[in-house]
Amino acid sequence: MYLLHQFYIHSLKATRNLQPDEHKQEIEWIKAAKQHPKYFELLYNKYYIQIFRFVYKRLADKSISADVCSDVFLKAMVNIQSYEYKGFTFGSWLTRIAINEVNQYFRAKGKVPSISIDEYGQTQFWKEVHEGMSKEEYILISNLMHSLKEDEKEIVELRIFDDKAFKEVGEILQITENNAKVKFYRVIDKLKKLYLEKYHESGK
Amino acid sequence: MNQENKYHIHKEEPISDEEIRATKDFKKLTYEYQKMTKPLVKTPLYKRHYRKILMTIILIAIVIWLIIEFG
Repeated sequence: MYLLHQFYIHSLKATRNLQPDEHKQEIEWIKAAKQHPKYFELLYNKYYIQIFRFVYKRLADKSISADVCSDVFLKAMVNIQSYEYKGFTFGSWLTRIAINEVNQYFRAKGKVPSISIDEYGQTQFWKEVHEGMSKEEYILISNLMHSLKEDEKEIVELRIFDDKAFKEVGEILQITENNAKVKFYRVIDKLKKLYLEKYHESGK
Repeated sequence: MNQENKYHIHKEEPISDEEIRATKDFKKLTYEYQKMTKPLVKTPLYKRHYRKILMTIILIAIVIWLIIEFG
């Protein structure tokens, strides 16, 4: 127990300066957190900003995001015994919980699901769907996204608006990287068709 | 904007890492965890493992009272 405590103190100091072999270290942290909840702080410190930004992007309110973020970590802390490393990182598991918590928040409050996007997000969206579009086309993006199913929206959000790599998208959605690519480009094709049908051919 | 739109996109308001760190509170999280996993209202003593001992003591007391009264 003493050794475990020493490991905890040492790791807590190291949280701010993660080494390249952090993945192995993360597995050790998860093992420790399963033994005692206080060791969960290591994972909390590592992922707090990442998860907060993910939630804030959707809720656009600092204090509500802090509450939802706290719920995400609480759920993770309670259910950590059920987490098993199967090639998917702990961050992806947390993101999955965050998606569920955000959706639950929207449902409970009767609010319309939303997402904040920056200029880069818009550029990336039009680069995939219809190159040459103006960047300031929030409403158009919103209308096109509205036409998609929930799982289709999710993959576009993760890949374009959250700017995640296909590997990470796959981890979050618990599918393979290749499957994530196939699914994503299928949705992009759908968006292209929708854009041409609804706006382009009718002269917008 | 389309009135029936069930999806809203808005412009991102930047937030700094410092602002995010200010919302971190692991102590509160631990408290919430304990509240969730360990119920605040504990089981009364007589309903737990002392139950048998308590019943035995009560039984002995009744027997002693009976002996004193009618013995």
